[in-house]
Amino acid sequence: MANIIANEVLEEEDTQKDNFLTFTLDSEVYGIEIKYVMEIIGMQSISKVPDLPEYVKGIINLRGKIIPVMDVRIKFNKEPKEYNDRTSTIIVEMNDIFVGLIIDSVSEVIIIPESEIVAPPEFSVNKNKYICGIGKTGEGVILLVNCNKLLNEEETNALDNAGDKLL
Amino acid sequence: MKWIGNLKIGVKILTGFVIMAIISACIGVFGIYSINKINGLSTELYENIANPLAQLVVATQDYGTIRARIRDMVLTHNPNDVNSYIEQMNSASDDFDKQLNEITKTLLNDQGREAISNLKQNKEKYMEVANKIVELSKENRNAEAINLINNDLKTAQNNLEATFNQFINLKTNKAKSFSVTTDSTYKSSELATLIVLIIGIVAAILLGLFVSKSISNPIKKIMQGAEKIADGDLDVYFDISTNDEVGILAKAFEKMSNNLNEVMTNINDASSQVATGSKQIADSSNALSQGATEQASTVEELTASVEEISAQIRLNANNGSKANELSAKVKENAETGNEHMIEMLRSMEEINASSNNISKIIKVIDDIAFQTNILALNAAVEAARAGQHGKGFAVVAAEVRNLAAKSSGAAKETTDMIESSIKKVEYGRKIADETASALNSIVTGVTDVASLIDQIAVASNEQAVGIEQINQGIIQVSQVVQDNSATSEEGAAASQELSSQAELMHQEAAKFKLKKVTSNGGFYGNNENINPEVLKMLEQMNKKNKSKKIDNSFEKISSNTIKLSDDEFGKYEI
Amino acid sequence: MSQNDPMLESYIFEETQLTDQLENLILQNENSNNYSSEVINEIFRIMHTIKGSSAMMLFNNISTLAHSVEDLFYFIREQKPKDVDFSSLSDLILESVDFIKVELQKIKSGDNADGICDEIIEENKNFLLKLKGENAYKAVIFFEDDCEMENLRAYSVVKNFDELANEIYYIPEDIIEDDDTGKIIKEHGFQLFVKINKSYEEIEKILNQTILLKEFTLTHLDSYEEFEQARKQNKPTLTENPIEKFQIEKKENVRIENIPTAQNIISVNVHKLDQLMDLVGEMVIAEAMVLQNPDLNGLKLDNFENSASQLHKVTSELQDLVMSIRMVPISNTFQKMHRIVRDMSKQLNKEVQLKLIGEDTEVDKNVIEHISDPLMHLVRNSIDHGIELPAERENNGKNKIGVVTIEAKNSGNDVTVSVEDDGQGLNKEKILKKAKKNGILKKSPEEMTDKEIYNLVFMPGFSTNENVTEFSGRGVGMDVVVKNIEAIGGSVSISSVEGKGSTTTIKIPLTLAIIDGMNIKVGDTYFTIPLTVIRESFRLIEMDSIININGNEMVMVRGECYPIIRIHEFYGLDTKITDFKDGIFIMIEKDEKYICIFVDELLGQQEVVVKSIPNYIKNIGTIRAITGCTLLGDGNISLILDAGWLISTVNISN
Repeated sequence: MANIIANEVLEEEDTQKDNFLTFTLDSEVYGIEIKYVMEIIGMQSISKVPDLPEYVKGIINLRGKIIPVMDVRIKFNKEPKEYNDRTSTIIVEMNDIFVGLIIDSVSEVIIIPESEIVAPPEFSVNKNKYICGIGKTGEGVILLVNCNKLLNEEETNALDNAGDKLL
Repeated sequence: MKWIGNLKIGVKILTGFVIMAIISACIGVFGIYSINKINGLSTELYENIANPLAQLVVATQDYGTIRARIRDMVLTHNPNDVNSYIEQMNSASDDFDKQLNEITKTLLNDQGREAISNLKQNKEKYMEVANKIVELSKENRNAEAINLINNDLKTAQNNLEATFNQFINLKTNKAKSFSVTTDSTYKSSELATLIVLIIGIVAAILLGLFVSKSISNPIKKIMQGAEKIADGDLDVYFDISTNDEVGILAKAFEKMSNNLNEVMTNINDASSQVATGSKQIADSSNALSQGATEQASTVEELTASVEEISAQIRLNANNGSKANELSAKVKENAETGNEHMIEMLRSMEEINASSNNISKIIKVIDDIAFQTNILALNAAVEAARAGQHGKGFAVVAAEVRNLAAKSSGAAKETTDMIESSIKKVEYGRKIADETASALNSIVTGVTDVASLIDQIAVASNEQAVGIEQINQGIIQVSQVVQDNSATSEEGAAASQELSSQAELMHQEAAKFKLKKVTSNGGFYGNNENINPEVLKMLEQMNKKNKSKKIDNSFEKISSNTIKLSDDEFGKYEI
Repeated sequence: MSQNDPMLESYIFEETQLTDQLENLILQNENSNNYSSEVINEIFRIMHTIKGSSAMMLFNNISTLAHSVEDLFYFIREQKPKDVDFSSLSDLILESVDFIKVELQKIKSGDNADGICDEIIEENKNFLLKLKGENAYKAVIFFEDDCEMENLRAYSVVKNFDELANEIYYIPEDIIEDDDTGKIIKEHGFQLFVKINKSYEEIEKILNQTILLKEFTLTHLDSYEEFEQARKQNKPTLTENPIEKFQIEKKENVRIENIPTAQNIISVNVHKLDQLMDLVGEMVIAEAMVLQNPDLNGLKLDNFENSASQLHKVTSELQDLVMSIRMVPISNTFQKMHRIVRDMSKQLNKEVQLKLIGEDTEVDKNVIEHISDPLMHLVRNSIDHGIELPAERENNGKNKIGVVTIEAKNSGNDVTVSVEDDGQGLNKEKILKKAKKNGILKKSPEEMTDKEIYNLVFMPGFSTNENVTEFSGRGVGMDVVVKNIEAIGGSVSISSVEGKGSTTTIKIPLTLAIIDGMNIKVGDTYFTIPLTVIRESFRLIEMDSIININGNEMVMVRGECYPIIRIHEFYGLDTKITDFKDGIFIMIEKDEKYICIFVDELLGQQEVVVKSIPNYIKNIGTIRAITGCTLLGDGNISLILDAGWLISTVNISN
């Protein structure tokens, strides 16, 4: 019985694995693994928080939960756009860290099998940090976002300074 | 004698009386003188005769007493009585002396005196004897006393008595003489007095006559004149030239008659005029009255016309009101039309608004579609996370997304339709606006008309009111006219009265026969001049009456006036 | 055995509690050398409960052990013997307690509770026997001939003795169930074996009171042999159907004796409490959102206001209550320390006195659990490494008795627990040496500050793992302590003065705190300042009060000068209100230091639910002087200012 359970778990993970939520920034389509996606919400009023990088717009109140939001455009070094009512926020969660990603608009959930994923090319260094692959679909390519890197870029730094923290 | 005549009557009379008085006085004086004489005589008589005689008597009495007493004395043995008789004798003797003294006073002649002296002597002698007797008596020597009595005394007594008689004779003779004198005096006086009296009487009578004549003549004249005047003949002259009262009176009477004349003449004239005038007044009053009546009738006509006008005006006003109502109705209709326009506009607006709402809703639907899309995505996410179990759910999510897309599309189409609808509404709205403005102008025009009519109505009303007032005024005038009429009738009546009274007066005045003497006073020449004041009055009346179509009356009056003067004037021809 | 078996969980909870309680009791009363009757009762009850519960859970060893202790205390309670050696009694009990504890731990971690405690049971028994002048009697009772239901009569006799006797056995046993026993009783009589602390005459009297008694024979048993026989006969009842018997007994006794405990304590799944806490937090927020709803602005709704205030009142009470449910006074944990100190000091022959300060400090249950072990470890460390031997202490001029002070205090949003000892302090060389030895030196020793050196003890691999007792067999090292603390968001620090002592401070944030805060606004950003730090707020009337010293703006208030922090400048916020006259000054104080902060406007006071800063942001970096955030009534997020931080910035600049 344990095996069956294990298989199911594996399958679950598999099922999740190839699922990506796609969103657009300008004309580019990005995808993010569904297992990190908590939900998608429209625009909400953002409370600014000082002393944060520019791409962290602030924090929002999502049904009582305080979630920081990040403007992906800024993070990807694009020109920031004004938010309209089509702008959406994707709430992602990873290792108990919740972040809202402000993007132009969400598209859909698609399955991109691994076979259709290739490694990212080497040009834009900045973006590359966050792109972990290119997914090919019938309509075009989807830039697959490395959620870990996106969320936790600073964490590596944080970990380095762990010792200091304890002081 | 003129100057006498000029004396005042009073003076005259007084003079007469004075003279009379003087005469009387003369007479009186004379009489008094005579009387005085007589009186004197009588007095003398008395004094010189009567009185002494009386005194003699008394002396005699005394003598008697003495004698008595002596006797008594002798006769009595009472010493007391003796004393008392002595006293009495003494007293009588004293008294005898006294009387003799008295007589002495009034002795007129030597005879008398002689007599008296003899008397006295005799008396004394007597007395001597008496005293002796007394003495004897006292000594009770009555016998001697008696003897003496019979002897000495008697002699003395006889002497005494003789003297007494002498004296008496004297006195009686004297008395006689006196009486004769008196008679003569009386007679002379009597005569004198008679003469004087007669003279006096005659004088008096003459004087009296004179005076009375001087008085009564003029008075008579005056009397006559007055009689004449009284009879109404004022044509009298008083022929008196004296300056005394009567003359003055006569003059005064003359004056009076003149004045009276004048006055009467004036009165005559005046009464004539009054008569004339009052007639005129009467006439004019009549005329006035007639005129007033005519006025009243005219006023009646006027009132009638005014009534007509009033009715017309009311009609006007009514018409105006009706017109107003009509125009109000028209206005209402126009306004209703306007309101409907507005409502139409409103409903167009509402259409627009609802179109907008629909737009909004479309937008909402669009939003919903978007949200649904997101939800669907979320669902897809969840489905993906659910893995195997979520596959069916993923399909559902995809379908929902499709639906959302369809909704979105439909929403877009609807939006376009809405927009075109809105445009059409805009156009319709524009037209409606124009219509609305046209209607508005109608309304405005109608409003103006209505207001004008309103004004007309108001004016008519005011006119009606005015007419009413005029009516009232006319009624008042009518009243006044009637009053005037009545008054003028009264006036006419009064003036008739006046006229008749004036006639009376005239007649009365006519009773007087006037003289034709130019004196100060108002005689009217033979002109046609009426008293200018009266003429003015009449002219004024005339003027007034002219306007009321009573010219004819005036002419009557004026012609009357003229006639009057002519006629009446003739009356007073002297 | 499933971890989440609620029964098991509740059992573990209950037993742990009970054993703790018991331990505390013992420790408290140990020195007095006399146990009051309440204490005795208490101990008895506890043991009884443990016995019952354990039996029910099929933990027989615990149950038996508990039973023996129970017997012991029962005797003590009833007979009140004099000359009880309480200290050895205490030892004895503690032994039992320890055993139970160990077993509980095993159970907790899913192992089998297979400890053998026969020895202890024996010891208990012997102790008891020593205490007792216990008598054993045998009575054979015959009822009247024609009375029916002899078995029930017999049962009533048993009942009579039940309360008095220490042990009762009777033949036949099945008197209630089996009516045939009546026949047996009729024929053979009812045999009653009783161990009782009463005299013969007394037993006789009691027996005489039996209804419809015909005759009985009562014999005093000299030896326990027959007794043992009887017991053995009855033993099957005990062992075969222990549950039954105990169920019966439990039924009887539970009714009587468990009720008091049930009245006092209910065991609740902590998870549920967590959920409850969260919900209450949410409710506070939701309540604020309702009561401060913008829709209500300007409306005058009297009835609503009344109801709203009622709601607020109830919510507050609920809030407080729930908070208090979760908040457990740290005294519990502290009390455990007593044991450790006692044990360790005995063990190590050191004389240590434990001082506890701030026992009443309430800490979240969650926190307590996480703090207990580290605290223990710290105490152990203090005694072990810190406190010197009495002789050594005397030599150094210190008091023979070492003092370990555990202090807990609430400081704003944190709970600080410090363990201080007046021992020998940390030896830098030793540490460095060991660190080197264990290869955890990163920097060269010369570059390290004292603090850094001290903090080396927190490094993994620095464990002083020579002492493994049954208490802390967790594989403790200071690093694990640190991990535990950090797991609940806290921090550990250590400071020391060589020769004088060392202090380890644990700082734990209150995870879910509801504080009274003052909401302020600067530009578009909302802040909340805990009311506890606010001294006053005021508007500036005269600009004269502002003075400038070396570019630092200060404000004069009643003759005193306070530095100003312009919040909008501090955080670089856009605001229209930059002139001192337009905004508000708030004077805050921390640790006797005062400053004034300049903000746009005061929004009002509100009880706010403190939510920690999202992890993501925490990972990016610390936001200056912000310790958390909260949701305002209108849904806006407000940042909670840390007064201490703000004050420290000023002081640094000064």
